[in-house]
Amino acid sequence: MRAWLFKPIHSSSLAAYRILFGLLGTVGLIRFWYMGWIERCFVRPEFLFKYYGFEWIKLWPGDGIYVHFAILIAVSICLTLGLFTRWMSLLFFLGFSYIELLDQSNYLNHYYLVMLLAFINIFLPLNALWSLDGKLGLSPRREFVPAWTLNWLRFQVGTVYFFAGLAKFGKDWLLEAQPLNIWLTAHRDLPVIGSLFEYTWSHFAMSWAGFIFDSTIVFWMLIPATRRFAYLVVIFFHAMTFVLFPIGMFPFIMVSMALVFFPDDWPAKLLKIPKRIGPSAFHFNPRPALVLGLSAYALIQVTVPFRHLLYPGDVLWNEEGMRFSWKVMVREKNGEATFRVRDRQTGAVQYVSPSQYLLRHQENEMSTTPDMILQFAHHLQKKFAEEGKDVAIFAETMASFNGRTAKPLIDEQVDLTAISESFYPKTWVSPEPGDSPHRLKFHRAAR
Amino acid sequence: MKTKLIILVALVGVTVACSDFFKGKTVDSEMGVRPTNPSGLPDKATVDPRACEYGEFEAADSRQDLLWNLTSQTLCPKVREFRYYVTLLRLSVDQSCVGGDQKNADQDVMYLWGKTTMTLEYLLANPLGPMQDNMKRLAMEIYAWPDFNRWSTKWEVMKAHELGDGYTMNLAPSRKGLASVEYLLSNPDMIVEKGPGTAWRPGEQEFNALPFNDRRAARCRVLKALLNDVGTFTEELYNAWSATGGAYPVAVLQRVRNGEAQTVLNELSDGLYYIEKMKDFKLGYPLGLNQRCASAVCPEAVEFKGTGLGVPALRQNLEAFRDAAVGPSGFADQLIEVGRPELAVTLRERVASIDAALADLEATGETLDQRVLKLDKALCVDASSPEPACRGFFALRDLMSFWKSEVLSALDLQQPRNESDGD
Repeated sequence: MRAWLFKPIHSSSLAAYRILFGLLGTVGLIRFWYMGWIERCFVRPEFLFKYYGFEWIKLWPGDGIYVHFAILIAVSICLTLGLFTRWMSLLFFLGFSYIELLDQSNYLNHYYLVMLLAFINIFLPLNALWSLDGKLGLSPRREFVPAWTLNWLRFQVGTVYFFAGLAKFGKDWLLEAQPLNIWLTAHRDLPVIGSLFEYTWSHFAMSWAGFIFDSTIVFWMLIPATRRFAYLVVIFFHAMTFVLFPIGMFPFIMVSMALVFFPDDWPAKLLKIPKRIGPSAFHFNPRPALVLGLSAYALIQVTVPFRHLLYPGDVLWNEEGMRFSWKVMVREKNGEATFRVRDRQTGAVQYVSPSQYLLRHQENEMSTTPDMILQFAHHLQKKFAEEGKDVAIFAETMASFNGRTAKPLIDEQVDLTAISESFYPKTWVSPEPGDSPHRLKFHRAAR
Repeated sequence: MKTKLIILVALVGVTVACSDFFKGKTVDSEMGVRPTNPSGLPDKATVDPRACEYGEFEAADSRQDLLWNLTSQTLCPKVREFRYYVTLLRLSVDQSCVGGDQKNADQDVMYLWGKTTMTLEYLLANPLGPMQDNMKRLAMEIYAWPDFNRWSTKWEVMKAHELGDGYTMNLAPSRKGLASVEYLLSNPDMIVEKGPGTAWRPGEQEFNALPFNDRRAARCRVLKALLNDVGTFTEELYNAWSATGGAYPVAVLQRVRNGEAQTVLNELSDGLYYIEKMKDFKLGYPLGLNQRCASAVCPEAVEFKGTGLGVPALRQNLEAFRDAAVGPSGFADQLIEVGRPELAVTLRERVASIDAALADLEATGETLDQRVLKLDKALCVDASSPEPACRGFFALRDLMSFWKSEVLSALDLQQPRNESDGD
């Protein structure tokens, strides 16, 4: 363990990681802006869904969010160049986390991964090599760094794959080929490979391949003999997901981050840069506080994804413990929610379509997520209160997941204004459907 | 003049009766000499017989079949028809504004108004491509409902009187489009009303005291300006579809060949969400089932309240949805194709429920606002309500709930949204 944490390793891998992280951050943020998503995600919505405990986070006034993005892009560029690296890492973590915490409906697993990596970056000597900090004398050039730095990143990236694999270890994924059966059937006209997706066996083959890939890829990447081939598989796998699914930067992030599994000096060797001094010249003393901190981090990372076990029911249905758990691409869930609002004084009933308050992407996310439904009901309650109305609010919902027959997600008899958000099990969420998924069997209709 | 009007009405009648009427004919040739040559129109309002001839395509599955046939065989002719009616509406307004038999002229205008707007209602409810682009810009430019505000249009008429021939219209969203045209058409005497709960504003009573012909002239100036603007955007829409212009169906075909059929299908599904507008705005709001209505019921919120076309508009919206959802190779057929025939049956049933409610509403012979005024809210609580408008609302809700939860899942469609990432 001591060697695993404090053995000297070459810092070129960390430097390459920093450059890639900074570049991905820069490209990702510019893309977000260019696609008009700043306006769509933050400016246009009249209501933003808050994370429990982070309700205090508010949107910048005026054009502040654009300034925020501009600063964050500049910070990413600084990170890429290794300028004021430690401060930039801190700023990136704070700035990116702020964006992610603004609205729950924007949650994506890979955004969460970027947040975690950004947090880790604060503690890493990312400017040890190939940085402006070093060139300008702001920080000493360090050819060797303790091994915990790279291993922390390996642990983090490995966690994503491991839990993504674990999430696929279930009846729906392995025995029903869901949700790939639904998704791939729709891709049957894709050039070259599309015709394969007309056949159910291809959905099973892809499901099992995905499960085996996620579950074992870290292992293959850690073994020197299989590493290069495994990395080719990583590239192929993520290229496929990029083609088939709208997952944006995720494939690029994972292909880049998987490089941390290569030996610590791979960039130096690749660029044929000779080492000035050997690792034996370095010695890093164990620091108990560091070991404690890393242990605490690791403990949190391996327990949080299991927290859904504390809640009754299927996490894919009730979403209790869904976020921050690397349950990546394991469910196809669609639903609809209408809110029945009853005036407590007059008894008059009105129906509120969320689209009157929410943008579509928010409504989509909310319609299948109980805690967001509750949050929106409370928002409606405030809106009606502003008009001097005391109302009871009931959610009339229908949701289906992984091809099962749709059923109400929320108990329609429960007045959501009487419910408070908490970490306790949500007893007002209906039990998950008991039926098996309907498996699609494509057959070309006679024409 | 009367002869011209008779020819005009006959022309429209023949148009409706004969689907192949357009071949080789022009509005000019049918009508003889045009009374005016409105600016913004081509010299001849030619109805291009080849506007929707895009060639042949052998579809590989019902998805491709739907996209190709719907765009080339259904929507393109509708766009062409809409442009044609807009042209006739403009001409008929020109006719009615030059004097003569006002009563008949107004009747002709109203007839063509109905044809124009009902064709548009179909397109609005099935808004693929150009009608959906850029946040449905064209739909807002052409129709501008519910952004339209009749008080703004009223002030435009008063301004038109004040400025005379020097008048130029302020075409802000609150005072433009066919929604604004409707306000003027349903007010042939052009008596302006005061705003709700306010005193008369300066000039309003004086305007009402003007001779009929002066008020009418001011109204005509605004009408022409409005229809000129509508005509410009109609041309843009038509050009986006026409085989000799943007040829939108060909673009769809190209995308289908590039393996993007699912994406285009999703765009079609997105457009069909107009049915939510039927539910929330066109029925829920007037029926007082939507929180926008501050009273028990809101008959003033009925679409086409002035011309009484609220129910026919709902019918056109439903027809547009029906053609795509349960028509040939529609979404129901695709559900069957992927092995979910039971969902196809439910989809047809849900559409039939709305159809039945609408048929009952039509059978009353009353306008929607008349029905709303008679509504007993206590009986408007579910799909078994005796009031067909209420039944329509709840049937629409059931359909959308089914669509969002079941149809989208089975066909792997996304709910409408701007492009974004997922994982």
